[in-house]
Amino acid sequence: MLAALHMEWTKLRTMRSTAWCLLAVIGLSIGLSAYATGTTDAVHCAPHCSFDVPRLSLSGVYLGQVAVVALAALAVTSEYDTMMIRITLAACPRRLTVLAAKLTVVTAFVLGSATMAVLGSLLASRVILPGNGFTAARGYPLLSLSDPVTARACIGTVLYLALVALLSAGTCAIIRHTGWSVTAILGLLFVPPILLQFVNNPSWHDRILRYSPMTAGQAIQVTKGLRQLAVGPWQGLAILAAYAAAAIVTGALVIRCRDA
Amino acid sequence: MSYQSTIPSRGDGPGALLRAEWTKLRTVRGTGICVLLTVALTVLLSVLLSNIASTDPYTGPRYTDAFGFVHRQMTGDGTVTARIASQRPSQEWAKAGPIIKAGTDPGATYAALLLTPGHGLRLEAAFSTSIDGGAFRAPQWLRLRRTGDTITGFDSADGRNWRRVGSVTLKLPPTVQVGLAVTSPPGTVKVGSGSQTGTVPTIGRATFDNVSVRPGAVSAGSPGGAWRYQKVGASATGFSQSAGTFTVTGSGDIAGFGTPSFPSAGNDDIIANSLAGVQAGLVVVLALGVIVGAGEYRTALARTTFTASPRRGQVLAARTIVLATTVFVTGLAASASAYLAAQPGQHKNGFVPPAYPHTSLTDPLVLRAVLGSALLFAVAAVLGLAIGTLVRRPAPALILVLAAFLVPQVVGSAALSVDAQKWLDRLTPVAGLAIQQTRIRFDTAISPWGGFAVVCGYAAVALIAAAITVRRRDA
Repeated sequence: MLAALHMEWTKLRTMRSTAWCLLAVIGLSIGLSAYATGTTDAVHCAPHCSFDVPRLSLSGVYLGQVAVVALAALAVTSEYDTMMIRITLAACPRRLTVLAAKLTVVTAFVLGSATMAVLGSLLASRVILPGNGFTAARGYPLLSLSDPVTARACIGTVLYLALVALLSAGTCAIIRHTGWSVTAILGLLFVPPILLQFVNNPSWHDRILRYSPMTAGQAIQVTKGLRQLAVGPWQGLAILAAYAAAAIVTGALVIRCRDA
Repeated sequence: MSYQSTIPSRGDGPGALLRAEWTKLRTVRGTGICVLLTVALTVLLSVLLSNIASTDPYTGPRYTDAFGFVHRQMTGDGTVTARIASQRPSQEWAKAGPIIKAGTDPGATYAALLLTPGHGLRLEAAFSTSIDGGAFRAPQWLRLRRTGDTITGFDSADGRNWRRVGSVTLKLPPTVQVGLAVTSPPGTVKVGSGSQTGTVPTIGRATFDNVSVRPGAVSAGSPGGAWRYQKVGASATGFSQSAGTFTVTGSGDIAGFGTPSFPSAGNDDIIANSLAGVQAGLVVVLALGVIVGAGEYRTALARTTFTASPRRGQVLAARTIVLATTVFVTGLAASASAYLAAQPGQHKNGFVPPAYPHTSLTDPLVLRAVLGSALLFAVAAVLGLAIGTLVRRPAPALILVLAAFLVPQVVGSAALSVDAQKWLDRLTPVAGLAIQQTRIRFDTAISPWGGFAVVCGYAAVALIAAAITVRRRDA
C-alpha cells in the first residue's frame, strides 16, 4: 500500500495540471470571497437585514470547488486517456489498492489546498469587511477561528471540498471519459441550485436543498438561522458524503469488473 | 511528362466540406446521445418544475391608484399640455406627465402620457393599457388631446413639432379632471444574503413648466377653474407653484393588470419558468460543442481532416455551421416541447388569469423566448466548439465553459447583493439566458436581445481566436 501511495503521489505531483489546479483552488476561492465581501455592505441595508458573515466570507468555495473537480478528474481519468492505466495496473495488479491509494493522495492534496483557500478567504474578509460597515458596533465582530460556529464553518468547508473531490474521483472511475465525467459532476453539483430559483413551493424547495449534493454539503457553512435550515450542518455534510460513498463504491465495482 | 488523374475531382469546395463534417458529427455515437439527452432533459425538467411550482389564487387588488394630482376641470373636448423640465429617478417605474381622469377618486378611469426614468415614455390608460412611446427622458413636451371618447398622446422636443405617440379609447363623462400626475412605486431591496426581498416606499418628484389646458374657458375664479392639488389614494406628497413652474411630488403607482409596473402576485415570469429545463440542456450542448472541437485532436483524426482539406479556416467554418444548425434544430424541438408540456402543470398550480394570462406558442413574447432558447443552444454549442478547438483538451475546455455558464448563476443568487448579481448577469455568458425573460422584475439585469448579444460576443471572440490558432498551430 505504501508503494502504491508513493506511486500515486509521484504521478499527481509530476502532472503539470496539478500545480495549476492548486493555484486555481486557492486563487479562485480567495478571489470570489473577496468579491462577495467587497460588494456587500452593512451600512445601506435595511435595518432588519442580517448577514451570515462566515458564510459570505467562505462563498469563494463556489468557484474553488470547480478547480477541485478538475483536479480530481484529471488525477483519475487522465490515466485512461493516455493508457497509462495499463502500466499502473501491470505494476500494481490489485485494483482496489490502486483506487484506494489514488483516493487517499487526491483527498490529502485537496485537504491541504482547501485549508489554504479557507484561511486565505478568512483573512481577506477580515481585511475587507470592517471597511464595509461590518463592525462590532453593528453586531458583526471580527471573524475569528476561536468562535466555535465560525470554526465549524471553516473546518466544514475544507471537508466539503475533500468530499467534492471524492465524489468527482468516484464519478470519474465510473465514466472514465474526462469530458463526460466533468460534465456529469458539474451538472450534478450546479444544476439543482440553479433550478431552485424556479421552485417556489416551500416543501419542494426544502427537499431540493436537502438532497442535492452542493446545497446539502454547504449547509455546513451556515451560522445564522439554523432553525429554518432545510438540513442541519453536519447532516447536510453527511448527505454529500453519502453521494461520494455511492460514487466510490460504484467506481470500485466498475474498476474491478471492467477491462482497463 | 507528368501523370494527371482522369477521375473528375470531387473537390474540397464548401459542399464537400459541409458533407464531411456532417458525416463525422452524425456517425459519432456521442452526438445522438447528446441530441436525445438535450431534448429529454429540457422537456422533463420543465415539466417537473411546472408541476411542483405553485402560486396562490390571486385575491389582491386589481389596480393601484395612488399619486400626486394637480388638476382642474375640463368639459368636453380639449387638450392638456406640459413640459417636464426634470424628473427625479426615484424608481425605474416612477411616472410623471399629463393625465385626463374621470374624477379624483381612486379607481376612476384615466388616460395619461407618462415619462419614466427607466422605461421611457408610455401612454397608459384604464389600469390595463400601456403603449411604449420610445426611450425619452426629461426634458420633454407632452400633450394629451380628448376627442369624444378617444384620447391621443403627443410628444415633442421643442414644443413646436409634435409626434403622435398613440391613442386609446375610454368611457369618460362629459366633465373630467385634467392635470399633472406624479408618482413612484415602492422600491425592492434584498433582505439578508438569500433571495428574500422587501419593499420600501419611494417618493417621485417632477417639475413642469408651460402647463396649459385648452380650451381654457373656465375662469380661474369659478369652481373647478383653479389648479388644485390632491393626493389620490394613500400617497405622501406635496405641491408648489411659482411663476408657471409646478413642482409635484407623489408616491405609489397608477397601474393594474396589463401595465408592466403593476406589482401584482403575477411577478413570476412564467414563460421563462416553463423553459427552465433549458439550463440542463445547455450543459449537454456545451459538452457536445467542446467534444466536437477537441475530439479530433484526441484521436489525431485532425491530421486526416487537415490532409484531406488543407484550408483549415474553411474546415472550422464548415464544422461550426454543421454543429450550429444541428443544435439549433434540436434546441427548437426541445424548447418548443418544453413550453407546451409545461403549460398544463402551470395552469393546474394556480398560474391563471388575471395575474397570469394564458399564452400560446404564437404570442410574440413566447416566440422570442422559445426561438431565442434554440438560438442560445446553438451559440452555446459554437462557444464550446471554439473553446474546445483552442484548448484542444476536452477536460480543461469543458471546465472553462461549464463554469462560465453555471457558477455565476449559483453564486449570484446565493451569495451576492442584487447589484453584484446583476453585473454577473450582464457580463458573463449567463447574460444569454435573458432571451427567455418576458417580464421586467427587480432582478432583471439586461434586455433580452442585449443579453443574447453578450453571449454572441463571447462566441465570436472565441471563434476568431480558434480560427487564428488552428491555422498557425501544428495539428
